[in-house]
Amino acid sequence: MIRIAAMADVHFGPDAAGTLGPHLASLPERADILLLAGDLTRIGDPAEAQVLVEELRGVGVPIVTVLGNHDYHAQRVPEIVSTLVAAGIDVLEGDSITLEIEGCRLGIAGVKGFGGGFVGASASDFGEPEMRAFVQHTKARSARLEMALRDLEACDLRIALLHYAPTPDTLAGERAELYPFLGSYLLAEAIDRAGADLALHGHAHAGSEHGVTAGGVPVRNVAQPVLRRAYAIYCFDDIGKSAPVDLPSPPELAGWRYLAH
Amino acid sequence: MTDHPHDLDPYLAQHVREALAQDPRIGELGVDVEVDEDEVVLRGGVTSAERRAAVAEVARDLAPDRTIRNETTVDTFDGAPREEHLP
Repeated sequence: MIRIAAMADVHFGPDAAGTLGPHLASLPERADILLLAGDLTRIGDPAEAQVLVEELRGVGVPIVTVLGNHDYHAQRVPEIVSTLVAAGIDVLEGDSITLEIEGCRLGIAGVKGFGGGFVGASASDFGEPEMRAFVQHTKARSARLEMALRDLEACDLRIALLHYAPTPDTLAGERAELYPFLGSYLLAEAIDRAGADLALHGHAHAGSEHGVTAGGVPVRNVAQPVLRRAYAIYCFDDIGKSAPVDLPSPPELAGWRYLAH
Repeated sequence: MTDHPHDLDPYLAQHVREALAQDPRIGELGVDVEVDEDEVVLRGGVTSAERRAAVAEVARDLAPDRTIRNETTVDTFDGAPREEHLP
C-alpha cells in the first residue's frame, strides 16, 4: 500500500508560523509521502517560503511540490525554488520524479498548469497576441504535463500534481464566472492521454474535493479551505499501472502537444 | 445614464478586492466584498489574525465614509486528516 498525503494553498508567511507544524507531527505514521499542490506562499516572497520550510522541517517523509500563482507574484521564483530545494523538497514544473516506496515505484509528474476554462466555455487560441499568449501558456504547460507523465510509464503508480484544476467537477462551489481562471480542460486531456492513477490540485478554495476526468482519472482538490483539514490522505491498497485512455487526436490540438515551454 | 446615489461608487467593491490581492500584508483573492451606501461587508476565510485585521484596514482606507463590517474568519484546520482508499 502507498499512502499519499496532500495539501495545497497554505499561503504561508511569517504571520502563519507555528500553525502548520503541529498538524504534521503524526504525518509519518499516516503517510509515505507529502505532496504540495502549490500556493505555498502569500505573495511569492522567498522569506515566506523560508517560514514554511521551517514548518516542514522534520516531517520525516519525502516532500514534492509544484508552485502556484501566489508563488509567482513577486517574480522571485528562482529564490523560492532554491529555498525549497535547500530544505530537501523536490520542486516540479513540467518534469517528473520517481521514488521507491514500499517496494513500489511511485511516479509524480508536476506542473503548475494555468487557466482557460472547460469544454463548452473555454478561451481559444485566437485573436489578440495577449489572448493567444494566455491560451498558449496553458497549452504548453499541458504538453509538458503529458510528456512528464509519459516518462513515468514504468512506474507502478502515477500521480499528476497540479495547482490549477483539470476538471470543473472540483470547482463546484465556485462562481461559474471564475472557472476560466481556475483551470483548463487541456490539463485533463493531457492526463487522460498519458494515463495517471490520481490528479491532485488546489487553487479553488471554494470548490469541492472530488472529481474525475472524462477518461476516468480521479481528481482531488486538496486546497486546505476545501479539505477543512491540514491535509488529506489517499491510499492505494492494490497498486496497478493505469493505462492511458485512447483518445482521438483532434486536428486543432495536434500541433501544440510537443511544444517546449 | 444610470443614477447612483452620490456616494455609491459602483466599482468600489472590485477596487477593494483588487487592493486585498495587491497589499503585501494580505495577498488574498478570495475575500468577498459587498458595498452599499453605508457599509462595506467583508466575508471569507483568511490565514491569520494579522491578515484579518489588514483586510479591514485596506477597506477602511478605500471607503473612509462607510462602516466596515469585517466578517472574515481565520481559517483553522484542526480536524484529523481523512483517509480515502482508491482502487
